Amino acid sequence: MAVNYIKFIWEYFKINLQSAMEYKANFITQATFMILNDIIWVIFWSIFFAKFPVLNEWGFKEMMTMMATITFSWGFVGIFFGNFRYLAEVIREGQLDFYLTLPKEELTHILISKSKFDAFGDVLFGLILAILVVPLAKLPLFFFLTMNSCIIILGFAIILGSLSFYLGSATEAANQGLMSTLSIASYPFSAFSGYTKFILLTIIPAGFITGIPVELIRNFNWPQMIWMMLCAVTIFTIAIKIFKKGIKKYESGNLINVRL
Amino acid sequence: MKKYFEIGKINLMNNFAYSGEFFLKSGFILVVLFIFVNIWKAAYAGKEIIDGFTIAMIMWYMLLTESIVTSGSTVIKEVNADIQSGGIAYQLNKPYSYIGYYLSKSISYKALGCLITFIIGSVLVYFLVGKIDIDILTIPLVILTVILALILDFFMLLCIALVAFWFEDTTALRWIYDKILFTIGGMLVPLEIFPDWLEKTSSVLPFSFAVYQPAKLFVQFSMERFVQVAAIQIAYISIFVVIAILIYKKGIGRVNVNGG
Amino acid sequence: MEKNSGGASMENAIELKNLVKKFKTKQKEAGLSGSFKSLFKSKYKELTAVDNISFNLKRGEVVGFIGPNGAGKSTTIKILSGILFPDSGKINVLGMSPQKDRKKLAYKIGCVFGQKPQLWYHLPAIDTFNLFSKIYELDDKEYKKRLDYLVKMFEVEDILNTPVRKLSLGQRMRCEIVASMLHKPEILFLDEPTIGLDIVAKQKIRELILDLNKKEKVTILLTSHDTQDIEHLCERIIIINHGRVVYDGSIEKLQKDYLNTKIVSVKFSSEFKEFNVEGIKIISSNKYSAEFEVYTDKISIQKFIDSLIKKYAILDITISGTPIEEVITKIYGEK
Repeated sequence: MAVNYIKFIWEYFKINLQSAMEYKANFITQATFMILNDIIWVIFWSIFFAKFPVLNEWGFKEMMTMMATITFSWGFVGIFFGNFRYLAEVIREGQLDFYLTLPKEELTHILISKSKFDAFGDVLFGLILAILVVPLAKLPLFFFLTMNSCIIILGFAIILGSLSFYLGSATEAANQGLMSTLSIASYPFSAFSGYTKFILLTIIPAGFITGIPVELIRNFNWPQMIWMMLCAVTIFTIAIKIFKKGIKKYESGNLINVRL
Repeated sequence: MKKYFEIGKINLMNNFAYSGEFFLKSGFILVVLFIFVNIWKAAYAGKEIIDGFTIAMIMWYMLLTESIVTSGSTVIKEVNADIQSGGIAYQLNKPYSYIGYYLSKSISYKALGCLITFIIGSVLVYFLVGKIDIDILTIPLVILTVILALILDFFMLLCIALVAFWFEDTTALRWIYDKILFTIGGMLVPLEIFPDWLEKTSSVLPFSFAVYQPAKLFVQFSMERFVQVAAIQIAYISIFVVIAILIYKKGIGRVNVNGG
Repeated sequence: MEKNSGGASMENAIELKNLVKKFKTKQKEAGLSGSFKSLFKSKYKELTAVDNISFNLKRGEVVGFIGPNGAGKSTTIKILSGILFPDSGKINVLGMSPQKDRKKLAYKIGCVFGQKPQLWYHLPAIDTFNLFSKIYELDDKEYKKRLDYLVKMFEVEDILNTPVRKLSLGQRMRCEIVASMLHKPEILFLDEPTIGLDIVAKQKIRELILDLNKKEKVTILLTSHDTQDIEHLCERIIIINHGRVVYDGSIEKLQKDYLNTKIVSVKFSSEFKEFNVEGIKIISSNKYSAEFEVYTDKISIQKFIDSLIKKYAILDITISGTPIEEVITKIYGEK
């Protein structure tokens, strides 16, 4: 069954790629601007760390590892599951009906039916940065960790998007939530301690997306590793449950904004 | 003038309609502030003052810059849509009222957002770092520079949006603009943190007048500085108004030539 | 849930009994204070969209499903395709419960929504077709054969590789129908398939749909606001209003039951004064022309013309049937 899923995802990826080739200029522009965007951040952090070389044990190198992690994982999800940011919209605008009348599992279908062009830029940037700052021997670990991060990002996005089932027009909130998590996961995790750190390892799992992976690359240890994988599985499972429950609610038709 | 006020009022009501999101949006800004107080505490590492800013000052500074920048505006999306649909051709004879319409719509939206964000955020910032020394009499003047900053930001964005006459999708440009505001505009860190050459350059560019300057005045007011800043803001606004009109005229001409 | 429905409904593609569906909609007061109030408390109003609907569709039937906006059509179709759950009632589509077996059922039904396209806008139709073949897990060889067959039938060979956004509405609709038929569904839900099309394109689509039904024996449930669509395609029509079935029968019976009128427009070469014959009504008249409503259950057209010719010299005569729109309007009004 997993093979079917992967085949499905791959087929959609191919058709999304064709769409990208149809609009080559747009594709290249978006990907390029994303890379430029990321480079600006690198420059910013180099200035910041020039002024403040150490932030609770983290230096510029750790920050760059963090950037590689976030750009690569965010980009990866954007390429294969590009609709992850728009789940709330899909639900609110009744596009769900289209997916429901087709024989494929609807959550996957919704997520993979779009591929973000700028995500290609992120992935390329993340890949190159990783090669530059992560020691060769640790690269396999890096990729494994980013895949974990992808699962967490996806799970969190699904939870936020599914709010649309329960909270009317939650699209703005969902987008804010996701983008805020992205922002948080883009700041030096070492700065956080105490309650803040706790929040970032629970309600807003930004800590697991980048913070923990960087720590693991610095000093690998099994407890943190298992903890991280557990988090990924938990968030994803909760996400699926919330979505399925939401679909049931949608199908009973008692949504505030169901289209008659 | 009254017409523009009515437009502002309707937009206000529109915003209330999305009740759930409204609160959530403010919520996430609090999270970002919380993150930064941690980063600054780690960066200051016990020092009282850096480049004339205490941690308290830098947080109040950031509250204002965040309020200004994240108050957001959909003007780019809307102008883009107008250009794509060709609807902008109907505005052919009245560029001033077209711009006037969007200006009043945008300012009412942004000013409200800015105010609400600031009020909500100030509760948190006060809780985190306490208050700073401000002369109440300077507040109205600071507010003036904030409004000028919003207007300046509007016209810069308008110029970007009007580029849609040539490039279908200007969201990439919007990103870059946002990043510029975040960095050399002074949203994330006051310009004093930058190396000398960068600090000097940024402080003359228009971007800092949309973000840094009013916030700096807020935490460290001086009459001399106020007059300078207001004057330059007005100057930059005038420049961008002219640029916007020029682009608009050229773009409309292009639409006509294409029979679009 | 009936277990033996598979066997019992071999003849029926769809069996609907006592379907009921209610909705709760949020109420909001007007004005700024109303907006503010709705932030905290929500008031709901209950709306009955489907109020005890029952009907059966035989395999291979082409049935028109019409009613004014808000009558419950889309709700019923959504329930039939498994998107919406009913509050009560027995539903059987191809021997399955749409709610329980939605994914299974999806392999056997096709949907074309005139207002919501399935084709990818920026790509050529062939790409969407290929994608659908993967979605429906069609065997490659079978798919190719099927595609060729449908493409020829719907005459879309030349536009297969054109981006959909460049196609005319009529071409797009033909491709939409092809896409929905690739997996050989047994039921086709057509919702407003001719909306926005010019008359030539409409005719074409109608012909193709009829052809499709003849060749594939696919059961078709068609909703349309264009009653000409219904007249041309359907032998049976279900009229729904306020969530209830108001008429379910053949089109001829509809015309016979509710209105037996022919409109006869006549131009005379001599001056027209009056014409009193039982079973007719003069709609309008001028010096040299008149329009009559002839009630064919009271007097046959033959007799009417015979009588008319006896009194006046006729220059030109046009006879037309009652447009079904009028028939339907009358029914909406009655019930």
